[in-house]
Amino acid sequence: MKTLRLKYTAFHNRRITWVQMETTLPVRTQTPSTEFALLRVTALPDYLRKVITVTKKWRIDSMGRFYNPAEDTVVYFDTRSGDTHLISDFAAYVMQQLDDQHLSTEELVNRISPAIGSSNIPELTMDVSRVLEELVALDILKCE
Amino acid sequence: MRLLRHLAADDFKQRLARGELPVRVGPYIYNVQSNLPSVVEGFAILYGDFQIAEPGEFVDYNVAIVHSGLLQRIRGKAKFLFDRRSPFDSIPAGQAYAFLEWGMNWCVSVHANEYLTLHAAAVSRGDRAIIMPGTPGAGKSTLCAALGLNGWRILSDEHALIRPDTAQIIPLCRPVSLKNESIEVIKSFSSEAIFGPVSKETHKGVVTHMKADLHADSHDTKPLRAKAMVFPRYARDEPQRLSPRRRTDSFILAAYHSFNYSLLCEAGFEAMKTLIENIDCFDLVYHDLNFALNAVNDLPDRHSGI
Repeated sequence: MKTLRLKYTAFHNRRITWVQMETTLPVRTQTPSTEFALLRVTALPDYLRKVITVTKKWRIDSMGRFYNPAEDTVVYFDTRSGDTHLISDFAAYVMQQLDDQHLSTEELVNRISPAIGSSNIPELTMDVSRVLEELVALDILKCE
Repeated sequence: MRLLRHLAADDFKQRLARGELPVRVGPYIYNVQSNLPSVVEGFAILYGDFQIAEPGEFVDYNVAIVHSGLLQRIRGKAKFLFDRRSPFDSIPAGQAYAFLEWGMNWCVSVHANEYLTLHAAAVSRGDRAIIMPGTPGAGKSTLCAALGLNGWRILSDEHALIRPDTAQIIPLCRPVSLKNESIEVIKSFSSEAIFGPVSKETHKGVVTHMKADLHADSHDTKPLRAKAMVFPRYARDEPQRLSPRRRTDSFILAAYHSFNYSLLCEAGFEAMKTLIENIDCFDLVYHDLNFALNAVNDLPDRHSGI
């Protein structure tokens, strides 16, 4: 399978939409404060007409249990899967912002930024995006 | 209170052969049956100071190690039975005693889900209990045996039974399993060590068991509060050290060493959380038994928070 990055037509409000061909792998953006959508375009000749802007929201289906003894790591028990994870305290903080809420990366960054006193939004966005991807890979987090 | 050693030798042998010898082991009652000479000998040596349960008391674990037929007898094989069923393949009769102990461990590992069970040795001095989880070969049994011969009370060599929502350990004192080089290490360490039969060419090598109930309170079933968790690791070529461990790392490692953490699901998480947040955790790397003993001996005093 090859990854095909199609032309994107939407670039507004700091959102870039990646459209992905059927039988391709997900493309991860490197641009700060961007989000990507994994959309399937079945008719190749029409792909340019099927470019859609999507804002991805993050959610946790069932918030698990934390053990946080104020170290730089936290134990997280996923009540849904029964898995136990050792995660960074930053990842735990990001997760806790999602409690019962569906938030975009941008919304998450806006929440986290004042709390951790970071004004470097691009760097924070990179960090949050990386954490979110790792949490998705661990099946802790979902995107919609 | 009647102990096994109070029975006349013939009476003991006959009751063991008939499977009429219920024995109190920590919070449980095992009823053991065997007519194999090594088992009779080993049980008499290692369980002599265990209390015989009263007739009619509920037996938690009915175990037997017997020849299941003439053919097995001729072939020198034996079977471990639990509730008259055989969960394992037959084993050479010469390894029968080791298999009895492993079978008795298995009973607890599989069934004792009212507790959070850790694959760990546990010892205490006064009201301070220390849990020592470890993979096979880490040196936990050797250290446990040495501590037992050095005034500590052995709570268990194999299972630390943690009462959920407490940091309390339920004592389950049974013989300490020693294998290969550790047998000579303990023999050299103390002439007071009492050993049961030797089982050779087992899947773990040469195995024997050391009498563990050496302390006046060995058979007291009162729970003891855990004060620390020490992860021992025998390493010949590394500097010896006792160093604090982070609680979160210790949580994950202790969960790895648990028989039923995953089975208990959320209750397991909560039980482990309660345990870990109430104790201090350490790594102990050693190759000299005296260094390890001193490290554990000094533990409560050096870390006043425990």
